[in-house]
Amino acid sequence: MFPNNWCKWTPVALSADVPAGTVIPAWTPTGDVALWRSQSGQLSASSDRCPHRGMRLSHGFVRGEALACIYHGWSYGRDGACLRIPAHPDLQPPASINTRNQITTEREGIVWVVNEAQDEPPPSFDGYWPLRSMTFQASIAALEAAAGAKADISGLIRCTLGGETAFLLAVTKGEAETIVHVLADKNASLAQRIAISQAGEQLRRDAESADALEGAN
Amino acid sequence: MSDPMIDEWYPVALFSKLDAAGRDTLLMGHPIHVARTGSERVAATEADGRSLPVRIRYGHVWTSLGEPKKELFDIPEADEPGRRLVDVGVVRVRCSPLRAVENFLDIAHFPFVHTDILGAEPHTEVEKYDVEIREKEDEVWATKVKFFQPQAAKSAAGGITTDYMYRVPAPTCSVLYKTCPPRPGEWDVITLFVQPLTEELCDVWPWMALYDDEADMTDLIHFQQMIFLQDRSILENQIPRRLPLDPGMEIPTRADMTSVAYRRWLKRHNYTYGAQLVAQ
Amino acid sequence: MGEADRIISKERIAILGDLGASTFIPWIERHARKLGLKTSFSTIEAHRIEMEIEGPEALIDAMEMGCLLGPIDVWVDEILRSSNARSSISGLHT
Repeated sequence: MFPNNWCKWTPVALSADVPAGTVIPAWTPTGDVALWRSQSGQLSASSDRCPHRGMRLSHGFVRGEALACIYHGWSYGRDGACLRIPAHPDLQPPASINTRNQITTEREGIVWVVNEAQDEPPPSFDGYWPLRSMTFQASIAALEAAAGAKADISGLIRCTLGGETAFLLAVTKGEAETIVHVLADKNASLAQRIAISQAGEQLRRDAESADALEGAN
Repeated sequence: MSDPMIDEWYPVALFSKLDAAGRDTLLMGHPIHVARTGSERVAATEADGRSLPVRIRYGHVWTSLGEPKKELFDIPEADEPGRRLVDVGVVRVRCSPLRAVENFLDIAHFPFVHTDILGAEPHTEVEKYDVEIREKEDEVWATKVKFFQPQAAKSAAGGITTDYMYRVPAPTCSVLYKTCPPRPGEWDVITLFVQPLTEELCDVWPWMALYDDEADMTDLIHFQQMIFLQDRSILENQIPRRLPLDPGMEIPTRADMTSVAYRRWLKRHNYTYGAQLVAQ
Repeated sequence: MGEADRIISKERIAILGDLGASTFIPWIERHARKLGLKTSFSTIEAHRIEMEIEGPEALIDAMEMGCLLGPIDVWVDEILRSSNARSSISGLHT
């Protein structure tokens, strides 16, 4: 699972899930983030809490190279610095008013976030690209049991879904909540991708009902 | 509960919709039952059968778990002939009752949350206004508030600069006075009466006393409901759920002056049900 | 109004009330840092804190808003500013 001793980065989303000009909520062990992509295509991971009055920035809107809060329109640049306070339009806000961003990067279709600068980039997965992200209301143990496989030393879970080899990047959000990014061979056909995706949903059902049984015992 | 908020009046039902079977609800964590006992009479009881004091006012039934030292606040406009009194209907919100009031006192959000209805870019500047705590009535008042609006009320055609006054006469109630296009010199009255179910869950009962002879009652209600549902999506996504009395994790500006005065008034009275005392 | 937001001011402010100075001072310093303001204290007493603040007037206004609340164990009666004789929010004296 991620992050781990070898990889401090957390996989938070698929690049395809954050098109230019959009913002989505995401989760890291440091806290909730508002993950957004500017009009020019650059990603930022802002803390999901506007410093003005605590509104979730993931409910905001991207305009050009800035993210604006939906409550009062305070807007922030890619580095997190406040650019504008609409109620006081002539004020030049100080950089000390900011959204405390984490560091973000994308590699082979996956968006990764980390709190402190790292020497190593996030890993590459040798021709396996992300297919979709899911949230399992289940522990990572239940996920591994349902998948019939445990995470290897690099954190990756290798299993078979829909008759194909697939890799799972798992992020433990809580005792019974795991974020799972499913990776498939990047040359897989549409039919294969659909099969893997549907098997992934079955995996989720299996893991969630196993955990529910556990809880009932 | 030692919080002095227990001795205040709270709305718990819409009078016109209350029948003899009544309704079960929650007040500050305590289950209560409210029912009509006569054509102009209601009763409120706690789970153990204890009778609670009741009032019927402004279209709603009010009660208290404690011993109110004052009568329910006055809104003289409610008795003026020619006014239409509008029961908007209850909306449940997953936030502190105090957060619901604070949001109602705020105007800087109009261009962003109520876009093209109560405000629009680029008219986002909030000009200085006056705020005071009126000693005699012990209420928070904001006056000389103004904001440019494209469509301020169902009765307004085109954009106007609307004058406002805001008033907090009780910890979970707020009254807004706004200029009334068909009757210059008079104020339309819009209120938010908030029932605290728990510290992080409330039922909001909006009510109005308007001079508007033209709009349908249904349209008036839908307009207010739409505005409030837009606010609800903000209220349910603000961190923390409770209202901070210490702004250590926030940056209030001059535009937030009414909110600051409201929080000072709560702090002064030790009204902390639904409040966060230490900034986190 | 717009003018004031652009100009850098230097003001003396006096905070009066039950200030429990030990919690309040670090709180004020943290709040001023958040606003990017330069501050220096000239008086620190249980009922009176005086300081000099430098920065755009709109941010000094924001400082006043924050300090009118402060931490939970502090009660501010009023804030006096050298830019105007009275505080912006009246009617809050003990």
